[in-house]
Amino acid sequence: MEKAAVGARSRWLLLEIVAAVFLFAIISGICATLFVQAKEISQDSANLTMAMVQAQRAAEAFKAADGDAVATAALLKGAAEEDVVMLAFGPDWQPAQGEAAYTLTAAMSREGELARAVITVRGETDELYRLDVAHRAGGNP
Amino acid sequence: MRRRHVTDTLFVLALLGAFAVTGLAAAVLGANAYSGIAAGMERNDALRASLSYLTEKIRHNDAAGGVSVRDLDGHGALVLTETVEGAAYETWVYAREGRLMEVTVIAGEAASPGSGQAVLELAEVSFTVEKNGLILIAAADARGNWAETAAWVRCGVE
Repeated sequence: MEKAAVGARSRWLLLEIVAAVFLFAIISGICATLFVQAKEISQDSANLTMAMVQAQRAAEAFKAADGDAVATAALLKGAAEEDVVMLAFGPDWQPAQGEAAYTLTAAMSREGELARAVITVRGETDELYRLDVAHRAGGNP
Repeated sequence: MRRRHVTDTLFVLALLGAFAVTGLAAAVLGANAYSGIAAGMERNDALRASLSYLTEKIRHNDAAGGVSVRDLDGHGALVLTETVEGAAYETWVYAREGRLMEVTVIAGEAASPGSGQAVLELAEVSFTVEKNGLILIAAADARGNWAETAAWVRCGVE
C-alpha cells in the first residue's frame, strides 16, 4: 500500500515537471518570436530613417542643380540616364558600385518653369520611401 | 525496481538539462535582440537627430552671408551669422570629444572649441561645400556608423 502511494506521488511529481518544462518551452517560443519581430521592426525603422535621409539629400541636390538631372547626378556622385538619376547603396547604406541592397531613383520632369522630381528609395523587394519635390527652375541665384 | 529508479532520475536530469539549455538560449536571444535594437535606436537617434538639427539650422540662417564653412582647430565647422539689434553674432557648430558642440561669439572674434555647449552625442561631423550652395554634411556616431545628407543654401555659402 505504501509502495503504491510512493509510486503515485512520483508520477504526479514527474507530470508536474513535464508540465513546467512544456510551459517554459511555449513561453520561450513566444519570447523568441517577439525578439525576432522586435529586431525586424527596429531594422525597418532604421531603414526608413536612412531612406528618408537619402531622399532628402537627393531633393536638396536637385534644388541646388536647378532641376537638371546630369548636374544632380554629379552632386550626388550617382548615374544619370535621360531624366532619371540613380544611386546604389550597400546593406550599411554606404554608396555601392556593384550589387545594391537599396536603390534611389529620382525621376525628373519639367512643366514650364516648374521642375519636378519623384524620388523613390527601394529595398530589395519593396518601396521604402517616396518624396515628391518641386522647384522653380531658373530661380537659383 | 532499482533500474526503474535510475531511469526516473536520468529522465528528471535530462528535463532539467533541457530546461537549463532553453533558458540560456532564451536569455542569449533576448540579449542579442536587445543589443541590436539599442544599437539601431542609437544610430537613429544620434545620426538622424544631428543631421536634422544641422539642416534646420542651415535653413533657419539661409540669408546673404548667413552660412559659411570654416576651420576650427583643424576640423570643419559650420558658422551661422545673424544680426541682433545691430550687432552681428556667429554661431559655430562643430564636433568635439564625441559631442556636437555649439558656441556663439561676437562676429569676428575667435571661437574657442572648449567653450562650446554640447548639443547632441556625435563622434564626428564634416561639412563640404559643393557647387551652387550645396553643403554636404557627413556625420558619424560613436560606433563609427556614417550617414550623409545635404542642405541647399538658397543665398549661397561663403
